[in-house]
Amino acid sequence: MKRDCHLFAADLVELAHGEDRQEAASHAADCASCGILLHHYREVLGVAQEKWHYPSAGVVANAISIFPAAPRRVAALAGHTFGFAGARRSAAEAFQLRFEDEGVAVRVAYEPTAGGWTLMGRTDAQAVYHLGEAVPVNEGRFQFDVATLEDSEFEIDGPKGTIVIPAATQVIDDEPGRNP
Amino acid sequence: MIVEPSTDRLLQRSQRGDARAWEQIVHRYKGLVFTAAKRVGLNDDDANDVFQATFLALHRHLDRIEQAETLPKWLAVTASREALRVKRIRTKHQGVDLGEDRSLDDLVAFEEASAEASAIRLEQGLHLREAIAELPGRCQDLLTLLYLEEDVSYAEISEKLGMPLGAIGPTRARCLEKLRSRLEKGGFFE
Repeated sequence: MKRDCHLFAADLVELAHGEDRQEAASHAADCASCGILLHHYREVLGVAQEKWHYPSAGVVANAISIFPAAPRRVAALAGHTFGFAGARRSAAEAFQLRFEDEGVAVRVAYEPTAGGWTLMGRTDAQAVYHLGEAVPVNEGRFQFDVATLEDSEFEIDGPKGTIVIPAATQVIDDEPGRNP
Repeated sequence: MIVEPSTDRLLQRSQRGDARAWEQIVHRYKGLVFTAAKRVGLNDDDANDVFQATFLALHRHLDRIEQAETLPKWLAVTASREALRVKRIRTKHQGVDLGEDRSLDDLVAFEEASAEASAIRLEQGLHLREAIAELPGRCQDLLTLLYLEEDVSYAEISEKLGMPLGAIGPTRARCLEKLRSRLEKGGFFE
Protein backbone atom coordinates (compact mmCIF):
# COMPACT_ATOMS: atom_id res chain seq x y z
CA MET A 1 0.00 0.00 0.00
CA LYS A 2 1.29 3.45 -0.89
CA ARG A 3 1.64 6.11 1.78
CA ASP A 4 -1.14 8.30 0.36
CA CYS A 5 -3.77 5.58 0.04
CA HIS A 6 -5.73 6.91 3.02
CA LEU A 7 -6.26 10.18 1.14
CA PHE A 8 -8.35 8.36 -1.46
CA ALA A 9 -10.38 6.10 0.84
CA ALA A 10 -13.60 8.14 0.64
CA ASP A 11 -13.11 8.98 -3.05
CA LEU A 12 -12.78 5.30 -3.95
CA VAL A 13 -16.27 4.77 -2.55
CA GLU A 14 -17.58 7.75 -4.54
CA LEU A 15 -15.84 6.41 -7.64
CA ALA A 16 -17.50 3.01 -7.14
CA HIS A 17 -20.85 4.80 -6.96
CA GLY A 18 -20.18 6.31 -10.39
CA GLU A 19 -18.99 9.74 -9.29
CA ASP A 20 -16.21 11.47 -11.18
CA ARG A 21 -13.03 11.24 -9.08
CA GLN A 22 -10.15 11.42 -11.52
CA GLU A 23 -7.34 11.55 -8.98
CA ALA A 24 -8.70 8.55 -7.12
CA ALA A 25 -9.19 6.71 -10.43
CA SER A 26 -5.59 7.24 -11.52
CA HIS A 27 -4.34 6.31 -8.05
CA ALA A 28 -6.38 3.07 -8.12
CA ALA A 29 -4.94 2.30 -11.55
CA ASP A 30 -1.39 2.51 -10.15
CA CYS A 31 -1.95 1.09 -6.67
CA ALA A 32 -2.75 -2.64 -6.51
CA SER A 33 -4.37 -2.60 -3.06
CA CYS A 34 -6.60 0.39 -3.88
CA GLY A 35 -7.44 -1.20 -7.23
CA ILE A 36 -8.63 -4.32 -5.42
CA LEU A 37 -10.57 -2.17 -2.94
CA LEU A 38 -12.34 -0.38 -5.80
CA HIS A 39 -13.11 -3.70 -7.46
CA HIS A 40 -14.57 -5.00 -4.18
CA TYR A 41 -16.77 -1.91 -3.74
CA ARG A 42 -18.05 -2.26 -7.30
CA GLU A 43 -18.81 -5.93 -6.77
CA VAL A 44 -20.70 -5.23 -3.54
CA LEU A 45 -22.70 -2.45 -5.19
CA GLY A 46 -23.41 -4.62 -8.21
CA VAL A 47 -24.90 -7.35 -6.03
CA ALA A 48 -26.75 -4.79 -3.86
CA GLN A 49 -28.37 -3.23 -6.92
CA GLU A 50 -29.92 -6.51 -8.02
CA LYS A 51 -33.51 -6.27 -6.87
CA TRP A 52 -34.90 -8.96 -4.60
CA HIS A 53 -38.51 -10.04 -4.62
CA TYR A 54 -40.55 -11.34 -1.72
CA PRO A 55 -43.66 -13.53 -1.80
CA SER A 56 -46.93 -12.54 -0.18
CA ALA A 57 -47.71 -13.61 3.38
CA GLY A 58 -50.23 -16.11 2.06
CA VAL A 59 -47.66 -17.80 -0.17
CA VAL A 60 -45.22 -18.01 2.74
CA ALA A 61 -47.97 -19.49 4.94
CA ASN A 62 -48.61 -22.18 2.30
CA ALA A 63 -44.93 -23.16 2.31
CA ILE A 64 -44.90 -23.26 6.11
CA SER A 65 -47.97 -25.50 6.12
CA ILE A 66 -46.09 -28.15 4.09
CA PHE A 67 -44.51 -29.24 7.34
CA PRO A 68 -46.88 -31.33 9.46
CA ALA A 69 -47.37 -29.67 12.82
CA ALA A 70 -46.05 -31.97 15.51
CA PRO A 71 -48.12 -32.44 18.65
CA ARG A 72 -47.20 -29.83 21.23
CA ARG A 73 -44.92 -31.17 23.92
CA VAL A 74 -45.73 -29.37 27.15
CA ALA A 75 -43.27 -29.28 30.07
CA ALA A 76 -44.50 -30.52 33.43
CA LEU A 77 -44.56 -28.35 36.51
CA ALA A 78 -41.80 -29.57 38.83
CA GLY A 79 -42.11 -27.06 41.65
CA HIS A 80 -43.46 -23.68 42.74
CA THR A 81 -43.33 -21.11 45.50
CA PHE A 82 -46.19 -20.20 47.79
CA GLY A 83 -47.06 -16.89 46.07
CA PHE A 84 -48.10 -18.62 42.89
CA ALA A 85 -51.53 -19.55 44.31
CA GLY A 86 -52.33 -15.84 44.53
CA ALA A 87 -51.26 -14.98 40.99
CA ARG A 88 -54.83 -14.39 39.83
CA ARG A 89 -55.59 -11.91 42.60
CA SER A 90 -55.49 -8.21 41.77
CA ALA A 91 -52.69 -7.53 44.27
CA ALA A 92 -50.58 -10.41 43.04
CA GLU A 93 -47.21 -11.26 44.52
CA ALA A 94 -44.10 -12.46 42.79
CA PHE A 95 -43.78 -16.22 42.51
CA GLN A 96 -41.55 -18.82 40.90
CA LEU A 97 -42.28 -21.96 38.91
CA ARG A 98 -39.95 -24.75 37.88
CA PHE A 99 -40.59 -26.90 34.81
CA GLU A 100 -38.84 -29.99 33.50
CA ASP A 101 -39.02 -32.01 30.31
CA GLU A 102 -36.58 -34.20 28.36
CA GLY A 103 -33.96 -33.51 31.02
CA VAL A 104 -34.18 -29.75 30.39
CA ALA A 105 -35.07 -27.62 33.43
CA VAL A 106 -36.50 -24.10 33.37
CA ARG A 107 -36.91 -21.95 36.44
CA VAL A 108 -39.03 -18.82 35.99
CA ALA A 109 -39.64 -15.91 38.35
CA TYR A 110 -42.86 -13.98 37.65
CA GLU A 111 -42.76 -10.45 39.02
CA PRO A 112 -45.71 -8.05 38.84
CA THR A 113 -44.94 -4.65 37.32
CA ALA A 114 -46.98 -1.52 36.64
CA GLY A 115 -47.68 -2.69 33.09
CA GLY A 116 -48.09 -6.43 33.67
CA TRP A 117 -45.50 -9.04 34.54
CA THR A 118 -41.81 -9.56 34.01
CA LEU A 119 -40.62 -13.13 33.51
CA MET A 120 -37.02 -13.81 34.47
CA GLY A 121 -35.80 -17.30 33.79
CA ARG A 122 -32.86 -19.64 33.90
CA THR A 123 -32.54 -22.61 31.61
CA ASP A 124 -30.00 -24.93 30.08
CA ALA A 125 -31.95 -24.83 26.79
CA GLN A 126 -30.19 -23.10 23.90
CA ALA A 127 -33.09 -20.99 22.70
CA VAL A 128 -36.24 -19.42 24.09
CA TYR A 129 -39.17 -18.10 22.05
CA HIS A 130 -42.11 -15.94 23.09
CA LEU A 131 -44.94 -15.34 20.60
CA GLY A 132 -42.69 -16.74 17.87
CA GLU A 133 -39.84 -14.30 18.50
CA ALA A 134 -36.46 -15.42 19.81
CA VAL A 135 -35.75 -14.17 23.34
CA PRO A 136 -32.07 -13.42 24.01
CA VAL A 137 -30.49 -16.02 26.31
CA ASN A 138 -27.34 -14.88 28.06
CA GLU A 139 -25.45 -17.54 30.00
CA GLY A 140 -28.71 -19.39 30.53
CA ARG A 141 -30.62 -16.32 31.72
CA PHE A 142 -33.51 -14.71 29.85
CA GLN A 143 -36.13 -12.07 30.52
CA PHE A 144 -39.24 -10.70 28.82
CA ASP A 145 -42.40 -8.78 29.72
CA VAL A 146 -46.03 -9.76 29.25
CA ALA A 147 -49.22 -7.77 29.76
CA THR A 148 -51.04 -10.57 31.58
CA LEU A 149 -50.16 -14.02 32.87
CA GLU A 150 -52.39 -15.47 30.12
CA ASP A 151 -49.65 -14.33 27.71
CA SER A 152 -46.85 -15.99 29.68
CA GLU A 153 -46.63 -19.19 27.61
CA PHE A 154 -43.27 -19.54 25.89
CA GLU A 155 -41.19 -22.21 24.18
CA ILE A 156 -37.71 -23.59 24.58
CA ASP A 157 -35.53 -25.57 22.25
CA GLY A 158 -35.34 -29.08 23.74
CA PRO A 159 -33.12 -31.97 22.59
CA LYS A 160 -35.96 -33.57 20.61
CA GLY A 161 -37.79 -30.45 19.50
CA THR A 162 -39.78 -27.56 20.88
CA ILE A 163 -41.03 -27.77 24.46
CA VAL A 164 -43.89 -25.53 25.51
CA ILE A 165 -43.70 -23.87 28.92
CA PRO A 166 -47.38 -23.29 29.65
CA ALA A 167 -48.83 -19.97 30.75
CA ALA A 168 -48.71 -19.57 34.53
CA THR A 169 -52.50 -19.25 34.58
CA GLN A 170 -52.79 -22.61 32.83
CA VAL A 171 -50.63 -24.23 35.50
CA ILE A 172 -52.65 -22.58 38.27
CA ASP A 173 -55.90 -23.84 36.72
CA ASP A 174 -54.52 -27.36 36.33
CA GLU A 175 -53.17 -27.70 39.87
CA PRO A 176 -55.88 -29.14 42.15
CA GLY A 177 -56.57 -26.93 45.13
CA ARG A 178 -54.31 -24.17 43.82
CA ASN A 179 -56.91 -22.01 42.13
CA PRO A 180 -57.77 -19.21 44.57
CA MET B 1 -30.29 -8.11 20.89
CA ILE B 2 -32.22 -10.94 19.25
CA VAL B 3 -29.92 -13.83 18.50
CA GLU B 4 -31.05 -15.69 15.41
CA PRO B 5 -30.54 -19.45 15.57
CA SER B 6 -27.91 -20.75 13.16
CA THR B 7 -28.99 -22.49 9.96
CA ASP B 8 -27.25 -25.60 11.27
CA ARG B 9 -29.46 -25.58 14.36
CA LEU B 10 -32.61 -24.89 12.33
CA LEU B 11 -31.79 -27.72 9.95
CA GLN B 12 -31.19 -30.17 12.80
CA ARG B 13 -34.43 -29.14 14.51
CA SER B 14 -36.40 -29.43 11.25
CA GLN B 15 -34.94 -32.88 10.65
CA ARG B 16 -36.25 -33.83 14.11
CA GLY B 17 -39.73 -32.65 13.11
CA ASP B 18 -39.74 -29.20 14.69
CA ALA B 19 -42.35 -27.18 12.79
CA ARG B 20 -41.15 -23.87 14.25
CA ALA B 21 -37.65 -24.45 12.88
CA TRP B 22 -39.16 -25.18 9.45
CA GLU B 23 -41.11 -21.93 9.67
CA GLN B 24 -37.89 -20.04 10.41
CA ILE B 25 -36.16 -21.70 7.44
CA VAL B 26 -39.00 -20.60 5.12
CA HIS B 27 -38.77 -17.03 6.43
CA ARG B 28 -34.97 -16.95 6.23
CA TYR B 29 -34.86 -18.06 2.59
CA LYS B 30 -38.16 -16.72 1.20
CA GLY B 31 -36.42 -13.83 -0.62
CA LEU B 32 -33.75 -16.09 -2.09
CA VAL B 33 -36.26 -18.61 -3.47
CA PHE B 34 -38.83 -16.11 -4.74
CA THR B 35 -36.15 -13.95 -6.38
CA ALA B 36 -34.78 -17.03 -8.16
CA ALA B 37 -38.20 -17.48 -9.76
CA LYS B 38 -38.73 -13.81 -10.60
CA ARG B 39 -35.27 -13.35 -12.14
CA VAL B 40 -36.14 -15.86 -14.84
CA GLY B 41 -39.02 -13.58 -15.78
CA LEU B 42 -41.95 -15.51 -14.35
CA ASN B 43 -45.15 -13.73 -13.36
CA ASP B 44 -46.26 -13.76 -9.71
CA ASP B 45 -48.56 -16.79 -10.11
CA ASP B 46 -45.82 -18.92 -11.65
CA ALA B 47 -43.26 -17.62 -9.14
CA ASN B 48 -45.64 -18.62 -6.32
CA ASP B 49 -45.83 -22.14 -7.77
CA VAL B 50 -42.03 -22.35 -8.00
CA PHE B 51 -41.78 -21.14 -4.40
CA GLN B 52 -44.14 -23.85 -3.18
CA ALA B 53 -42.48 -26.55 -5.32
CA THR B 54 -39.03 -25.61 -3.99
CA PHE B 55 -40.04 -25.90 -0.35
CA LEU B 56 -41.92 -29.13 -1.10
CA ALA B 57 -38.69 -30.49 -2.58
CA LEU B 58 -36.76 -29.32 0.47
CA HIS B 59 -39.25 -31.06 2.75
CA ARG B 60 -38.78 -34.30 0.81
CA HIS B 61 -34.97 -33.99 0.84
CA LEU B 62 -34.58 -32.58 4.34
CA ASP B 63 -32.88 -35.67 5.75
CA ARG B 64 -30.36 -35.75 2.89
CA ILE B 65 -28.97 -32.28 3.55
CA GLU B 66 -26.11 -32.93 5.93
CA GLN B 67 -24.27 -29.61 5.87
CA ALA B 68 -26.24 -26.48 6.67
CA GLU B 69 -23.91 -24.26 4.63
CA THR B 70 -25.04 -26.05 1.47
CA LEU B 71 -28.72 -25.23 2.10
CA PRO B 72 -28.85 -21.74 0.49
CA LYS B 73 -27.18 -23.03 -2.68
CA TRP B 74 -29.42 -26.10 -2.74
CA LEU B 75 -32.50 -23.86 -2.51
CA ALA B 76 -31.21 -21.39 -5.09
CA VAL B 77 -30.32 -24.11 -7.63
CA THR B 78 -33.58 -25.99 -7.07
CA ALA B 79 -35.69 -22.83 -7.41
CA SER B 80 -33.77 -21.61 -10.49
CA ARG B 81 -34.02 -25.03 -12.16
CA GLU B 82 -37.76 -25.23 -11.50
CA ALA B 83 -38.26 -21.63 -12.67
CA LEU B 84 -36.42 -22.33 -15.94
CA ARG B 85 -38.51 -25.47 -16.46
CA VAL B 86 -41.75 -23.52 -15.94
CA LYS B 87 -40.52 -20.78 -18.27
CA ARG B 88 -39.68 -23.34 -20.97
CA ILE B 89 -43.21 -24.79 -20.74
CA ARG B 90 -44.81 -21.32 -20.85
CA THR B 91 -42.68 -20.24 -23.81
CA LYS B 92 -43.55 -23.39 -25.72
CA HIS B 93 -47.27 -22.87 -25.04
CA GLN B 94 -47.00 -19.32 -26.38
CA GLY B 95 -45.63 -20.69 -29.64
CA VAL B 96 -42.17 -19.19 -29.30
CA ASP B 97 -39.51 -21.00 -31.30
CA LEU B 98 -37.01 -22.59 -28.92
CA GLY B 99 -34.65 -23.41 -31.79
CA GLU B 100 -35.18 -26.60 -33.76
CA ASP B 101 -31.49 -27.39 -33.86
CA ARG B 102 -31.28 -27.62 -30.08
CA SER B 103 -31.80 -31.07 -28.63
CA LEU B 104 -33.50 -31.64 -25.31
CA ASP B 105 -30.09 -32.55 -23.88
CA ASP B 106 -28.71 -29.17 -25.01
CA LEU B 107 -31.66 -27.41 -23.46
CA VAL B 108 -31.33 -29.24 -20.15
CA ALA B 109 -27.56 -28.58 -20.08
CA PHE B 110 -28.18 -24.90 -20.81
CA GLU B 111 -30.79 -24.68 -18.05
CA GLU B 112 -28.51 -26.47 -15.60
CA ALA B 113 -25.66 -24.03 -16.30
CA SER B 114 -28.06 -21.07 -16.01
CA ALA B 115 -29.43 -22.38 -12.71
CA GLU B 116 -25.89 -22.77 -11.30
CA ALA B 117 -24.89 -19.24 -12.40
CA SER B 118 -28.09 -17.75 -11.03
CA ALA B 119 -27.61 -19.61 -7.73
CA ILE B 120 -24.11 -18.15 -7.25
CA ARG B 121 -25.43 -14.62 -7.69
CA LEU B 122 -28.41 -15.29 -5.40
CA GLU B 123 -26.12 -16.66 -2.70
CA GLN B 124 -24.03 -13.50 -2.94
CA GLY B 125 -27.21 -11.45 -2.53
CA LEU B 126 -28.12 -13.50 0.54
CA HIS B 127 -24.66 -13.09 2.09
CA LEU B 128 -24.78 -9.36 1.41
CA ARG B 129 -28.14 -9.06 3.20
CA GLU B 130 -26.94 -11.16 6.12
CA ALA B 131 -23.76 -9.08 6.42
CA ILE B 132 -25.74 -5.80 6.39
CA ALA B 133 -28.04 -7.24 9.09
CA GLU B 134 -24.98 -7.95 11.25
CA LEU B 135 -23.59 -4.40 11.02
CA PRO B 136 -23.98 -2.01 13.96
CA GLY B 137 -27.36 -0.20 14.06
CA ARG B 138 -26.59 3.04 12.21
CA CYS B 139 -24.66 1.37 9.39
CA GLN B 140 -27.29 -1.34 9.10
CA ASP B 141 -30.10 1.24 8.82
CA LEU B 142 -28.22 3.45 6.35
CA LEU B 143 -27.07 0.68 3.99
CA THR B 144 -30.51 -0.96 4.09
CA LEU B 145 -32.14 2.31 3.02
CA LEU B 146 -29.46 3.07 0.44
CA TYR B 147 -29.07 -0.33 -1.18
CA LEU B 148 -31.91 -2.68 -0.27
CA GLU B 149 -34.95 -0.44 -0.40
CA GLU B 150 -36.18 1.12 -3.59
CA ASP B 151 -36.09 4.80 -4.44
CA VAL B 152 -35.38 6.28 -1.03
CA SER B 153 -34.10 9.83 -1.45
CA TYR B 154 -31.26 11.33 0.59
CA ALA B 155 -33.82 13.75 2.10
CA GLU B 156 -35.94 10.80 3.28
CA ILE B 157 -32.87 9.02 4.67
CA SER B 158 -31.85 12.19 6.47
CA GLU B 159 -35.31 12.47 8.04
CA LYS B 160 -35.66 8.76 8.90
CA LEU B 161 -32.24 8.44 10.49
CA GLY B 162 -32.01 11.95 11.94
CA MET B 163 -28.77 12.41 10.01
CA PRO B 164 -27.74 15.72 8.39
CA LEU B 165 -27.68 15.48 4.59
CA GLY B 166 -23.98 16.33 4.54
CA ALA B 167 -23.19 13.39 6.85
CA ILE B 168 -24.75 10.74 4.62
CA GLY B 169 -21.83 10.53 2.14
CA PRO B 170 -19.01 10.15 4.72
CA THR B 171 -21.10 7.73 6.82
CA ARG B 172 -21.90 5.72 3.70
CA ALA B 173 -18.17 5.45 2.94
CA ARG B 174 -17.35 4.23 6.46
CA CYS B 175 -20.26 1.78 6.52
CA LEU B 176 -19.51 0.40 3.06
CA GLU B 177 -15.92 -0.26 4.15
CA LYS B 178 -17.20 -2.11 7.25
CA LEU B 179 -19.49 -4.15 5.02
CA ARG B 180 -16.71 -4.89 2.52
CA SER B 181 -14.36 -5.97 5.27
CA ARG B 182 -17.00 -8.29 6.78
CA LEU B 183 -17.76 -9.78 3.37
CA GLU B 184 -14.08 -10.29 2.63
CA LYS B 185 -13.64 -12.27 5.86
CA GLY B 186 -16.62 -14.41 4.82
CA GLY B 187 -15.03 -15.26 1.45
CA PHE B 188 -17.47 -13.14 -0.62
CA PHE B 189 -14.81 -12.07 -3.14
CA GLU B 190 -13.16 -15.46 -3.66
